[in-house]
Amino acid sequence: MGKLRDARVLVAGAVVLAFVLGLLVRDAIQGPHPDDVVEVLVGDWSDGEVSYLRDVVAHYTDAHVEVRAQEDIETVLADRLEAGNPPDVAIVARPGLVRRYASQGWLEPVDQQVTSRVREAWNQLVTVRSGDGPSRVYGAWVKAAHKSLFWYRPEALHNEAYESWTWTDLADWVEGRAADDAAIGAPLAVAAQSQWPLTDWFENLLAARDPDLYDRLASGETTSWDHPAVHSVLESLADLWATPGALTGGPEAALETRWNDLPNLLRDGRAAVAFGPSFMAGPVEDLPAAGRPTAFGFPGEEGDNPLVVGGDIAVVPEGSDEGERLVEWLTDAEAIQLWSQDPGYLSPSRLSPYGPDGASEDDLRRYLTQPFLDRERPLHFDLSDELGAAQGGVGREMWDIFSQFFEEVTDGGSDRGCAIERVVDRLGALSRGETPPDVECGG
Amino acid sequence: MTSGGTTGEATDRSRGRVLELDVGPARSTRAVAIGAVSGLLVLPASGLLVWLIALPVLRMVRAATTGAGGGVIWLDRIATVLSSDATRAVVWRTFLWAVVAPLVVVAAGYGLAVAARWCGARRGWVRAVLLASSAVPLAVTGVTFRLLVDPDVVLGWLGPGRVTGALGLAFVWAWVGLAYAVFDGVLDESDLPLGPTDTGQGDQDSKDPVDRGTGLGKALVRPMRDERARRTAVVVFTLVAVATVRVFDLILVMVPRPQRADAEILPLTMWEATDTAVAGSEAALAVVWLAGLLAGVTGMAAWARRVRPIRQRVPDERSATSVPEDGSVGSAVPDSWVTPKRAGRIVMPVVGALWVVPVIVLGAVALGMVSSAVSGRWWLSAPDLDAVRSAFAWGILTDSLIGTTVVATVATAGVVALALPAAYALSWLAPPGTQVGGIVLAAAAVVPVHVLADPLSDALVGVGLVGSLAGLLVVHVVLGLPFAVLVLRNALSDLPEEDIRRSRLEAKSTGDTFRKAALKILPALSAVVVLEFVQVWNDLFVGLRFPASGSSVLGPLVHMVARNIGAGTSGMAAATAFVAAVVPVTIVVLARDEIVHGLVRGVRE
Repeated sequence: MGKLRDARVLVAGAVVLAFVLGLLVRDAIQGPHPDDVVEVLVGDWSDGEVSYLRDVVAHYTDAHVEVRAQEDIETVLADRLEAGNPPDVAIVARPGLVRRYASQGWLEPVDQQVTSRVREAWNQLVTVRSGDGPSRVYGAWVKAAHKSLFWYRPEALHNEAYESWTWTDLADWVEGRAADDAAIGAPLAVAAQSQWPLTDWFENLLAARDPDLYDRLASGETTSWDHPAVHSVLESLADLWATPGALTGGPEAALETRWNDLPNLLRDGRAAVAFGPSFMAGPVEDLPAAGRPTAFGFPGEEGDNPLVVGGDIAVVPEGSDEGERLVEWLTDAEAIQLWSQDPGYLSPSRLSPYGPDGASEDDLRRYLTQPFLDRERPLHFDLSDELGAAQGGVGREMWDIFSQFFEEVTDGGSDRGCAIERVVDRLGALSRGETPPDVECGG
Repeated sequence: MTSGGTTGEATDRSRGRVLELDVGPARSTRAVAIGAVSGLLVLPASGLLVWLIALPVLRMVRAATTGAGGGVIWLDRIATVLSSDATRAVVWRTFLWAVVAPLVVVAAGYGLAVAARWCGARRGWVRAVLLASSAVPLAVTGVTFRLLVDPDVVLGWLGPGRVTGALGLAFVWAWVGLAYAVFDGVLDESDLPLGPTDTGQGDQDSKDPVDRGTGLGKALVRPMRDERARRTAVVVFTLVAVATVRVFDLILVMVPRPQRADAEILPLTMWEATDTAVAGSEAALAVVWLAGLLAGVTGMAAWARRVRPIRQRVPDERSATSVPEDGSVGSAVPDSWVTPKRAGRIVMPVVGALWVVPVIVLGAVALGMVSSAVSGRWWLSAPDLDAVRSAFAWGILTDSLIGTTVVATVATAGVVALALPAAYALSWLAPPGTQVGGIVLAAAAVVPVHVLADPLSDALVGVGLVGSLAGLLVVHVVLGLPFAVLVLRNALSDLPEEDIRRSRLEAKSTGDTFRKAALKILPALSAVVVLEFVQVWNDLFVGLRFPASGSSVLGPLVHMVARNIGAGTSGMAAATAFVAAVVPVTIVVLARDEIVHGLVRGVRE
């Protein structure tokens, strides 16, 4: 009996071993995945975003599409491209990354039929000129985010001319509302826990006050942040954030507030206005229609509202015909229409149902999409996604810098001048690819 | 190695004693054949370890000590990296974790094992609960404690300045069960009268006051007089200290980004480094980390070897005369109301109940009983399966369950297939370099994968395996190999020499002898299979860093859904985490006796 059991164990072991060898051999012969499966690697997306994309590609008929989210996609994608074992399509959020991969010859240029679907400013972000050859576009924009928005409860801004507000008007309104004992709820909600909204605040105000400087910093043309406009923007933000009573629950609560908490804070009347991106439309749509928050543009200096955008770019590794076909389909009207089932989704494409020629009657999404297509509006890509593209991106470090800045300027005890100087020094170091200096600002 | 005649003698170099070897009829090619066979058996495992652990470590050291121009700069870069206050804080925090967490875990595990004996409840539900918590993937533990402490879900306790406390609770919850099980096993093995049979009453025939006392303190200390208990404490401390690297999993799942700076330890620093290749500053940090780790482990190993039994105290005449002749001290009259038995009866159920609470919270959130749509509010409602259905309807959970099963099964088979022959050769064929091999294996077993990730990835890039299932499997196999070889080698070495001698006489070939030896260490083999399977199933880091095209695994999925915790979207995260934990918990709870038996004895009775 014992021998019989031993024999069974050996047989089971042999079967498993054969399975191992079989898989390894299959991998070696076939490559990482079968030919009829197209692999799409996306970045640090939420499960909801992945789920919507899966629903979209389920309608793709040429092949079965597998969508996988990948933490730290920069590292993994670079390794796979270098190893010659890339996915068929990768969707990344940083134009700088696309330019870097394209310069290394890892990507296929995008067909003109695809690039013609967005305005030139988007294509410029992912254009690379290789040697003496022509400039080529190496990424297809499949998603866009409008990052110059305030969301508000309609009744909270009743009788306010918020659409023509300048930054000064906004600051005055926040101050007045914060001092108003009769007001229900704080004027402003800040999602400091998510960190990137803090850099978005800075980017919008800088784009409003000195758009040329913004573009030079984003492109790496200048690495010095010691500029009056930068100082003045940081001063203005510190003034606003530190206004007593301005923030829902105070600065400590802001540090525990995520961007997707903002709709509930608005709905409950705990905040009148919240700064958040266009994809907040997703959680906003889950709220009851009565009194549902809506959006207005980030105030400019002289009435010109800045436009800071983010987005996701599909790239096709060299030699992937399946990838090219899928990207062509993903930027087509059918896929965009399907993807629009996601209430947080916006496309920068002319084929968007919310564009001038689109059939949708969703006024909010039309309002949010229109600036992407308007040739007259200068478009500034998210600075934290562009900064340090040559070093592999330093966006998270920039988030950390602004997170610390927010804590310091709102705690009441820190030396604000020192905090501002430190932000300037640390951002400069990041731009130059150096380690940001450690400087403590005392109380 | 052999001499002529039907029976030869050879020196077992690995153990420094003479071993009688039956080698059959004299054949001139036999010594060469055995040498070749031992080389062949060791080669696959050693080749993989050299390629994917030793060379990457050397590459790291080289990158840390070489300047931009290619010249040797020795420790300059390390000094530069450590000159940053922020970096020193990270190194210090990593060190504190490696010291404080094991101390708490060892103390708690030991205390519970002793207390369980006092009240006789060690085979009960408390033991099962404690062991089950040790089998839960750390990413799932992270989700569970995030649900407990997140401002939007239950307690609302997590906030700036409280991160380390929350992480510490989660870590202790996850590891105390293992420490408890090991101490429990060792106390079972102990032949001290105060060990397995001690109910806190003391040994009233002893002259030593510690042995005789009924007080809580004395009863708690008594088993530690056995050197095996103290050696076990050192070993468990070391294991848990090495395991603190996996606080990384907890940080990634539990700590919101703005608060990560308060909790950052070296694995996170390495993970968040933006360079994709081996870079000097990260290499310098890695070298500091490795040096500290190896120094700590070596020191603990030396300490464990020096542990000696504590001699019983013989009372001097004065204290002897102070003991009443009826011997009532410490026997009939307890030192206080809190007797060991009472303490055990209180502590065990309380600990058991506390350990169940996180699981109940996870289950309740997964079943929609605890939900929150608004920051700061929560309520109880009737259970439903909506979140579980959503988790499965999504598709990725099912894919990941299948993917993880395949990866864990194949990686486990690969580890056993490579480790068993190598362990056999190292224990009974003694190829050249056996002793060095043992030291290298022990070192490789404690090298954290976080240190190796970049150079290891570079090595896989070189052969085109990055992004493939084969690449993921190779990484899991190479990380599991050192531990498996060590355990199997120890078990094989414990086989009676007489058995091996007889096998060699009767066997038709070396393969036949090997097969018979392998069958005799089935308990150790089973333990390795179970532990390796659970280890791969519970992995987060390897799945994140070496993803396989076309194959989803659970660790990264749990991490992804954990980002949605709060703001009324916690149900699916909890359901996914709950499902991810079912398999390893079931396996460990069912195979708990086999694991302990396999690791402690390893050989079939």
